[in-house]
Amino acid sequence: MNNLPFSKAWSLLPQDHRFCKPLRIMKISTCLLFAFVTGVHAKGTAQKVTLKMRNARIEEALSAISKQSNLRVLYSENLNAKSRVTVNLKNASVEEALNSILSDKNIEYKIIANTISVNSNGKNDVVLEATQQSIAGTVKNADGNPLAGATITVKGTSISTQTDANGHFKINAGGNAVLVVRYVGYSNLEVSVNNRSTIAIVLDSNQNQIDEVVVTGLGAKIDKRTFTGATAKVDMKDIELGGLPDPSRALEGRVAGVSVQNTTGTFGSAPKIRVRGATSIYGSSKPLWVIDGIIIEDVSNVSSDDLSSGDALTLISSAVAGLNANDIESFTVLKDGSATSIYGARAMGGVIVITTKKGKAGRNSANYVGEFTSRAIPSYNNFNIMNSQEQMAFNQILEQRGWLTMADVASRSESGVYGKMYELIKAGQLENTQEARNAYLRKAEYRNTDWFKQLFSRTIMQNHSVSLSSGTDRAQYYTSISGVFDNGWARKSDVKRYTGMFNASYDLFDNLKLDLRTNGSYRDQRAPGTLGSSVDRVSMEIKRDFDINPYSYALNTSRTLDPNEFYTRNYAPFNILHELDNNYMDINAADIKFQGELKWKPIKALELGLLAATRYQQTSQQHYIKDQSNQALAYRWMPTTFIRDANPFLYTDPSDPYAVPVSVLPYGGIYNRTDNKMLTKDFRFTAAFDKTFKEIHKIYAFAGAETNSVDRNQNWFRGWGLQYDLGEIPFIDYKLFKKSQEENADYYSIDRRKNGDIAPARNRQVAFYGTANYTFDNRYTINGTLRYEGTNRLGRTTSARWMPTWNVSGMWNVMEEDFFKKLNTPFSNLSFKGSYSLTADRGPDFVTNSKIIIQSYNPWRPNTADKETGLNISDLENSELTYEKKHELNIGTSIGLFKNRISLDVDYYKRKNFDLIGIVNTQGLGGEISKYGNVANMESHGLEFSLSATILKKQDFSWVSSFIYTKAKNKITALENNSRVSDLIAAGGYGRVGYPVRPLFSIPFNRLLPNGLPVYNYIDGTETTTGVYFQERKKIDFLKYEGPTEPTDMGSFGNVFSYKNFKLNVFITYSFGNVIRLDPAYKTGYSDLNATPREFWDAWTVPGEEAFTNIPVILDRRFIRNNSQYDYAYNAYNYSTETVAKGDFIRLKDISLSYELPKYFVQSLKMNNLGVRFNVINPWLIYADKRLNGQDPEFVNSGGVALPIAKQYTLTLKMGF
Amino acid sequence: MKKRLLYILISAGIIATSFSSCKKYLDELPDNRAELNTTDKIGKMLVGAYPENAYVMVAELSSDNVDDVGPVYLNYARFIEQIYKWQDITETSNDGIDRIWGACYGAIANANAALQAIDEQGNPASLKAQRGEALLARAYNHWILVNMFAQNYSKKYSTTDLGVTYMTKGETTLNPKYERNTVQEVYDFIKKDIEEGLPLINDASYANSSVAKYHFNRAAAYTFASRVALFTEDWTKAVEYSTEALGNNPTATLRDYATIASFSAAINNTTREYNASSVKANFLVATAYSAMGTTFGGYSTNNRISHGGSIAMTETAFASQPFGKAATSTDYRIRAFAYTSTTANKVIFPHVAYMFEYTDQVAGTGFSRGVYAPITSEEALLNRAEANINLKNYSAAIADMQIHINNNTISKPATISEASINTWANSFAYFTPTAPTPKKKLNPDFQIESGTQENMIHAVLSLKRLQFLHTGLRWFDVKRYGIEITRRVAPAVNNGTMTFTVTDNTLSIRDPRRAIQLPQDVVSAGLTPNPRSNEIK
Repeated sequence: MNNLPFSKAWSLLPQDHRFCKPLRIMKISTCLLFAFVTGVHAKGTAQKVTLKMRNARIEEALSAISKQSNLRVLYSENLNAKSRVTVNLKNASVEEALNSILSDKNIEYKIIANTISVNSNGKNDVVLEATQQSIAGTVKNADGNPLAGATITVKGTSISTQTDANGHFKINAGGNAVLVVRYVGYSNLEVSVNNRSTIAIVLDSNQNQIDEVVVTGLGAKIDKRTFTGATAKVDMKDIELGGLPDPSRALEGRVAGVSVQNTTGTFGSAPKIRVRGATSIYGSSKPLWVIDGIIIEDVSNVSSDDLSSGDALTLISSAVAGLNANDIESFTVLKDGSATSIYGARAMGGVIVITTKKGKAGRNSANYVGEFTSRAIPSYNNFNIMNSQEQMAFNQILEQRGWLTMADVASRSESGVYGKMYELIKAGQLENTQEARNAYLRKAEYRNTDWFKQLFSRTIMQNHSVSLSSGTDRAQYYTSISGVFDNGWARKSDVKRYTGMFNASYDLFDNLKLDLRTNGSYRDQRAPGTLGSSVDRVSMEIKRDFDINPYSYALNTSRTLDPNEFYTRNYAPFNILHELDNNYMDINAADIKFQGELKWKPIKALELGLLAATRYQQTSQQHYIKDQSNQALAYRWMPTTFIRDANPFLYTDPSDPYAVPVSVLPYGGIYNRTDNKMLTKDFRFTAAFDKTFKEIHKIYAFAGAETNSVDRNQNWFRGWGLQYDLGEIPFIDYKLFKKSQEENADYYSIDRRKNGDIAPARNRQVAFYGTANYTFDNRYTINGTLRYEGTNRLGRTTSARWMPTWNVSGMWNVMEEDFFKKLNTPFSNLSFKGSYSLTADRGPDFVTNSKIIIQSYNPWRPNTADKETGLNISDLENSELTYEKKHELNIGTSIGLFKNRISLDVDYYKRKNFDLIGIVNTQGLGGEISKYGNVANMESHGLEFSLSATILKKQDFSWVSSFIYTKAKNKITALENNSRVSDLIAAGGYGRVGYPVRPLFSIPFNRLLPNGLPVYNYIDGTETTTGVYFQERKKIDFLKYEGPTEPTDMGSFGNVFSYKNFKLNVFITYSFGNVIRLDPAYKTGYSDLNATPREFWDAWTVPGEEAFTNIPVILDRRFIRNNSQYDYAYNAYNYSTETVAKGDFIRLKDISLSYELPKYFVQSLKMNNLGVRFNVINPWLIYADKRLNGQDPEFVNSGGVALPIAKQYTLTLKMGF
Repeated sequence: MKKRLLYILISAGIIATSFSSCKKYLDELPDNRAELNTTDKIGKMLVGAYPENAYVMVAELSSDNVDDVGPVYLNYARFIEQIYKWQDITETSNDGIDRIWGACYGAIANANAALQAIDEQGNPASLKAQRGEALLARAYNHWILVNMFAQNYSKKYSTTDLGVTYMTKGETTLNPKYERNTVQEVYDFIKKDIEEGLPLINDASYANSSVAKYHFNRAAAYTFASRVALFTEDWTKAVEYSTEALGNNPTATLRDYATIASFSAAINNTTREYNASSVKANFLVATAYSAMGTTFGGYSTNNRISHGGSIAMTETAFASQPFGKAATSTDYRIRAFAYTSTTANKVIFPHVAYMFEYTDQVAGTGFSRGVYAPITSEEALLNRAEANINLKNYSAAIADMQIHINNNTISKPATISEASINTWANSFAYFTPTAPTPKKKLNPDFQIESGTQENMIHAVLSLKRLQFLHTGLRWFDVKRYGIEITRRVAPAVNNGTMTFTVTDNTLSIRDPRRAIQLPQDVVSAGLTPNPRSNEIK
C-alpha cells in the first residue's frame, strides 16, 4: 500500500491530498507584488504537471504544482487559499494548470524568476467607482477584534474589496445593494446597505460549529453533535471571578448539577464541590479533577467533611490552587455515567476537566492581566454581638450570679477584664475600693474595641499574569508566568503564589504531532498557628486549644478588652496581636508537572497517542510557636504554687515520689513541621478511529490502556525548646523525652499508615478502556463504553482487584429529520439523549481490607523499660469487599430556538447507588463488632436546567441572560444505623435509612421550666432537662429531623449587558433546601472573655418569663454546684430545635463592569487591546434566614485557618500586544 | 501490508507486556501494612494478643465488693447502674462489654494469625516459643470471655450451659454467623491449648524481663494454668501448676512493699508502682483503655457505686480477718485510702492505676489508661492454698496462707492455724445484707464439708477478696462458689452507725444474670443470647 506516510512514491492520488500541505507558506504584501508585475513576465516553463484532485484546497493544488515544477509559490495573505477546486490534468503546462485552478476564483498569478506569485484580483475596485456611493465600514469578530483580509462583495456583481489590517474597508455600492462578507473560519454574512454610508459588520465564528468536540480528558475527543453524555462546558473568560486566584471557586453556580459551597475562603483550601450530589456515604464524593488529560491527585487526604474543619491540612486541599486562572481555557464537567464511565472507578463523583490554553499558529500575542483587590473589613453591624456597654452590663449579671468573683476568676485558666482588675488589685496597682473598681470597669465599658479593625485590613492583593502565545504551522507555543501577592485580609494570612506554564505543540511530520507541557507553581503562605480541633463526645463541646483564628476571635471575644493589654489564657498572659506575631504557620507548596504527548496518524482515520506525565508536589507546613507566645509560656507559667499545681502543661516526674510540677520547656518555643510529598506517574496509550462511510455512517472508536502510580509521603516533626529569640538554637530538656516516652508520644513520624492523614500511600492502577460511537445520517447515535481496571488499593488480592464499568447511550437528533425540516419550526437545534451506566468507586480510603491488614504500633506502656513495638490486626480480611457501584439513568434534551438565540439544556437523572460502604454490626468473633462492608444503598435523582437567551441584540447593545437550576436529592435506602445522637445533631453523622446522606437532627426543645431551665422531649415520650445522652445509638427516634445539610436546589441567574465597549455582568447565585446548625453559644457559665449575642438579654430571669422566652436562664454559680449535670442541659440547647436556621440564600455573587478602550486609541499605543474591569464579589446577601444573624450561610466558622470569602473589590487591567 | 502487520504486532506486543506486568505492578502494597513472613514479625504479632480493654470494671461492679452509697453521690452513669443492677448492658464505654468482647476476640485473632503464620512456615523449632505464647494467649482470652459471658464451670451444668465460640481460625468474610460452644467445650479447648503451649513457653524469647511481663512468661502461664485447673475443680493439677509458677521457694516472688510504700504520698504513684513490671510478684501486667484507675482511685468518678465504708468495716479492710483486724488504714503495708466526703465514700487499696496516654501533648488529648496486674504470684500462692484445702491438705494450705499474710496484709499479722481459722470463722454468723460479715454462704456445685474445710475456704476467699480488691477477680469467686448478692443502699458510716436499705434485687444461685448478657450488637447480629428469666429487677 502506498498510502502510508514516508513512502517514497508520492503520487498525487485524490486520497493523498491532505498530506501534500505546502512546505512553506510565505506572505508578501500586495504592493510588493505589484512592484514585480511591471517587470518580466516570463512565459511558460518546460515543466509538465499532472494534477488529479477533487474538491481540494487551492493551497494544496498550488503546492502540488510547486513540487512538480520546482517553482516556488508565493501567495498573499488575503488569498482565500482554502476555497476548493477540482482539477484533472495530465502533463499540462504550469500555466494551464494555474489557469484551471485559478480561473474562476478572481485570482491572478505571475511567474517571475522561478516564483509563482498569486494574488487576488484586486483591480476591480479601481475600475468601478464614481457612479456608486462609497460605503465605509469595519469587519470584526464577536470578540471585537478586527478581521484583516475579509472579502466584501456586492452581491450579484464582481465588485469586491478586502479589509485592511484594522478591519476597515471601503466599497462602492448602490443604496439598496446587499454586501456579502466572507472570511475564512467565519460564517458568510449578507448585509443590506439600506442607504447607510458606514456599516459595522460582526462575523460569527463558525469554528465552533465545525470543530466543537467534547474533551473527555483521556485523549478521546468526540464530536459534540454525536456525544451522548451529560456534560457542560464553560469558558474561563465567561466565568472568571476577578480577585479569587483559586480557579475552582469560579464554578459556583455556573454549571447545572454542580454545587460549590465555600465552607471556607482561605486560599489553598478547596470549596466543597459536588457533582450531582453525594455518591457515597462514607466516601468523600469528591469530583475528579483532570488537567490536560492528567488526573490531579490530592497530596493529602482531606475528606469533604474535613474541608470545613479549619485544620491546617485544609490549606493544601485544593487540587487546582497552583493553577493560574488566566491559563485556563475552559472547564468541562462530565456528569452522567455515559460521560464519566471511561474514567471508571474514580469518577463516580463526576469529573471536572480543565483545558489549558495553547499557542495558535500565525499570530504572536502577549497579554498582561493585573488584578488589584481590596477586601472589606467585616463590621459588627452585621452581627448580633453585644457592644462593650452591653457586655459590661451582662458581666455585671454574671458577677451577681457568682461567675466573676475574685476567688473564682483568680483560679481560672482564662480571664479578661475582671481577671486583670483583680490582678492589679493584688499587685497593689489598683485600690480595692468600690469606686476604684467601678472606675476601672467603666473604662472597659466605654472601650468598644473593634476587633475586626484590629485584626483585618484592606490591604491590596495583587495578581499579575503575563502570557505569550505564538506559533507557526509547525510549532505553537503558549507560555505564561504569574504572581499573586497578598499581604492578607486577616492578620497573618499572607499569600504569595507564583506559577509558570509552558505549552508547546510541534507538528514533527504531517501526521506526527508532539505536545509538551510543563507547568509549575510555588506558594508561600502564612496562617495563624493552629492545632487540630476535637469534639468532647460526652458533653458535645467542640474544642480547639490555643485557637487564634482572627475571625472567630473577633466574633467570640468581649469588646471590653483593651487590644493592647495582656489578659489570661491557659494561666499565661495572652494578647491576640502579640500571639499572632509569635504563633503562626508558614506553608510552602511547590508543584511541578511535566507532560508529553505524541500523536501519530498512520492512516487518515486512525490516530494513535502516547502520553506520559509526571508530577511532583511538596508542601511543608511549619508552625512556629515562639518563645514569648502564650502557647510556649503556658508550658512554663507557674508564678504561684496554685497555678503551678493547676497548670496542666507542667510535668510531674512520676519516678520521684516528692516531685513538684516543673516545666519541660524552660526556654524557647516549639517548632512543628509537616511535610507532604507526592509523586505521580501516568502513562497512556490510546487509539482513536474516526471515519464516515458513504457520508451517512459515522464511526468513532476509541481505545486505550493506561497505568497510574501515586506515591505519597508525610513527615511530621515537633521540635521542643527552639529559642527563636536566641538565634534559633534549641534548648532541650531531657525530661521532655522522658515525659514523651511515658505518654507514648512521638516527636517525629513518617506517616504512611493506613489510618494516617494520607491514604493510600502508594497507589497503582492499570486500566483498559474503549468506547464506540456510531451515528447514522447524523440523526441516530448509539454509544457504548467499557472499562476494565485494576488497582492495588484493596491489597494483594485478586478477588477485588479488577472492576469492569460500562455504559450504553443513544441520541436522536430531531433537527436532521426530513419531516422536521419541512415543518419550518423556530427550532435551530433539537435533540434527545439517554444513557444507562454502571460506574463504580473504591469507597472510602480507609476500607481496603480485602486481605487482612496488619500494622505496627507502639503499645502504650507505663514505664520506659516496658516499651516494645508490636503488630496488630487493624482490619480483618473481608474477602467479599468490592467497589461501590452506581447505576444511573440519564435523559436529556438540547433545544435551540431562533438561530440558537435561546438555548436550553435539560437533564434528568435517577441513580441507584449500591454496594456502598457502610457499617455492619457483626457477631464480632473476629475481634471487630462493627465492620465496614458493602452493605448500604442509596437512591438519588435530580434535574438540571440550563437556559441561556440573547434577549436583545442591537448594533451597539446586547443583553444575554442565563438561568441555571439544579435539583439534587438523595436518600439512603439501606444502612445499619451506627450514628450516635452526637453525630446526628452536629451533622457529622453519616445518615439513617430514609434520610439523606448527612442529615441534621435536633433535640426537640419543649419549654422552659419555671426556674428557667430547658426541657426536652426525650426517649419514649419522656421529658428531660439534663438527661440527654449524646452517645446513644439505638433510641434515636426522639430526635427531630431538620433537613439535609447539603442544599437540594441551587443555581444562578446571570446577565451580561454590552453597550459599545462597555460590558456589565450581574451574577446572582442561589441555594435552597439545607439547614444549618447555629454556632454553639450557650454554656452553664461565661467568662469575662466571651462576647455574647444580644439574645442573652432575652434570657429567662424571673419566674413567669418562661411564657415569653425560650432562652434558658443564665445560671447562678451557686446553683450549678448542686448539680454538675447542667452541662448536658445547656449543650443540648446548643443542638436543639431552637438553634437551627435555614441555609437558603440568594446572593449577588459578582457584579462587574468592564470597558474595552477603543481600537484606534489602543493601536496608537502599539497595543492590540486594552481593557479595565471593576468587580465586586459578594456585595450583597439578598436573602438569608434571619436567625443566622449575619453568619454567612455557606461559611463554617470552625476557627483554625478558616476564613469566609470577604466582600471584595477588584480592579482588573488587561493589555494585549 | 507488511507494515500494517508490523504495527499490529507492535501494538499486540505492548498490550501483552502491559498485561503480564500488571500483576506485578498491582502487587505493590498501598500502605505500610505488614505481612507475617519472618520470625521477628510473628513474635511481634503476639504483642497484640492481649486484650486492650479490661473485664475489671464490669466484673468488680457486678461483685459484692461494691454498694450503692446513696444519691448524695452524683456520678452515676447509666452504664455503671446497668452493671451494678445486673441489667443487660446497653451503654457503651471503654469498659463496656462490647469492648471486652471485641478486645478479647481481637487478641484471639492476633494469636490465630500468628499460629497460622507459624504453620505456614512449617512449624519450625525456632518458632516454638511464639507458638507456645500464641496458644496461651488464645486460651487466656477465651477464659475471660467464657467467665464473663457464661455461667461458671460446673461438672453438673457445663455440658449444656452456653459458653462462647472458641475461635481457632481468623475471620475472612464480612458477616459470618457462628454457634456458641458449651462451657465444657470451651474449657476443653482452653485446657488443650494450655497443655500444648505450656512446655513451649520460653522467657528468653522476650526483649527483656520488663517486656516479658506483658506476655505469657513461664510464671504467668503456669499461674493461669493453675487458675483454669482450680476453676475446673482439678485440685491436684492446680497445686502442680502453682508450684511450677512459684518455684521451690515462694518467698522469692513476694511483693516488695517497702519500695511501693515509699510512693504512698500520692495514690496515683502508689498504684503505678504496685503494678510496675519491675515488681517480682506481678507475673502479667496489662494496660487497658479504662476508667478503672479513677473509679477505684482517689477520684469522684462513678462515686455512687463504690467499695464504701460499710463494706470495708464489715467485710473487708477493717473487718476481722484471719490475720487480725486493721484498726486504721495505715496498719496495712501500703495504706488503704479511705475517703469520706461529699464527693466520695470509698476505701481504696492501690491495686489499679490511672495513667494517661497522650495522643497530642500540646492539645492535651489522649486516652485514660488503667494499669493492673491480672496474674500475680499472690494468686499462684492462694490458688495452691485453695486447691490444698479442697484436697484437705490443710497444713500445706496454712503454710501458703501464712506466707501470704506475712507479706501482704497488715504490719503485725497474727500467726494462723487450723484452730485460729475455725475460731475466726465461727465468730461470725453468715452474712445477711443488713447484718454483714465476711462469711458468706457458699453454694458451689462441688462438695465442701462444713466445719474446718468450709472455714478454711472462707479464709482463703477472704484473703483473695482483699488481695484482688478492685481487680475484678472476686466476681469469678462469687460465681464459682454460688455466693448470693443482694443489692442495698449503704450510705456513709455515721459515727460508727451503718444503715442499710435493702432492695429486692438479689442475684440468686445459678441466676441467669451471672452470665452477663452478650453485647446487644452481637445479639442483634444473630448470636444466641444468654437466657434470661422473666423477673429481671
